[in-house]
Amino acid sequence: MPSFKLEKDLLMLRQQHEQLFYVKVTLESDIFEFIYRPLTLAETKAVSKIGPAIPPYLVNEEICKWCILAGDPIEPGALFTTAIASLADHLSDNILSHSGFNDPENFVRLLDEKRTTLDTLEGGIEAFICTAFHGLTPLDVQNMTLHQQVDRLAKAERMIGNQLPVGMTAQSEKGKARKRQSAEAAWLTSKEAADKIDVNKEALQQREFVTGGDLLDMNDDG
Amino acid sequence: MVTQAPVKDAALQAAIDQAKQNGCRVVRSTVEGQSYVYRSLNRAEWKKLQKLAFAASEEVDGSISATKAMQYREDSEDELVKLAIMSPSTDNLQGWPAGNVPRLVELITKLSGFDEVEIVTEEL
Repeated sequence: MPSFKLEKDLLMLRQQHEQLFYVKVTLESDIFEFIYRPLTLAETKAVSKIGPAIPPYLVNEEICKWCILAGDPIEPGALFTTAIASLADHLSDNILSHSGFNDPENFVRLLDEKRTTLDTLEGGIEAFICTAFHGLTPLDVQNMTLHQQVDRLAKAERMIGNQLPVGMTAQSEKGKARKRQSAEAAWLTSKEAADKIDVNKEALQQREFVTGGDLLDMNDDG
Repeated sequence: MVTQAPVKDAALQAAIDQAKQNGCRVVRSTVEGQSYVYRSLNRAEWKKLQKLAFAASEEVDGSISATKAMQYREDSEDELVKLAIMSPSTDNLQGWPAGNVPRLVELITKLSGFDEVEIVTEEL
């Protein structure tokens, strides 16, 4: 878990970067925490190109300069001057291994994840808006308010000449919610649940009370 | 052997406090019966040593010569020890037992984190 200081930095960083990593380096009793973004493809290519020509410690520092966004207790800038000598090297190794351009398995796993995201309403909205407005990135869409998103989506639909199947997507999300509820219900009536402490019974009683209230209202109306 | 015994020398204690304030780690070790107080290197010091090592090992065409690098190694070890050892004085480094310097180099680089460190990473 990131420290309180890094959590505060994260609030800002999440608006600027789609993917972030937290790394904790423990050197006996000293702990150093950092947040970084992965390397882009262009940066990875640059590292492969200039890597053999300059000393490794300089390559490592360059990677840290690009990617390390926040640190506790030391600031990213100190990595190249006053920090423990090896930190920049350990961090650049970590950044390279998590950037994943040299790992086909990681690529396939991420692609699978992103395909699943596209099936959701959120993913569909991003895809529609970015298709119509080429200047916008998915991150820009995430930084919009609901009102802005719906406004851009409506315009995107008009420009593309096709409508996002919101009903179907919403239904499929409802379906997922329903499945979750049935699973909960099945669990509540199971033997395992019966053996559990009274918290679940309280939850059941509350549900009964709410249902009873609805019935009373209906009777009153009638 | 690493010990954490109190330091009696006030000037040394002040230097230790200053080093710690600068983010260095300071320890005392005994090598071949001689007690040494030394600190970790920071990145700027490490880079300076690396730069010197590369410059000394570089051929005219810009490639790195393994022979030259080996020749420079002893000099660079002395430089590293002079930077990191806080006690005793390194003025008479040539008079130290021959095996102590390489052993101290190992200890100093380990203290500076060039060894196993525990790293935990999670995607946020």
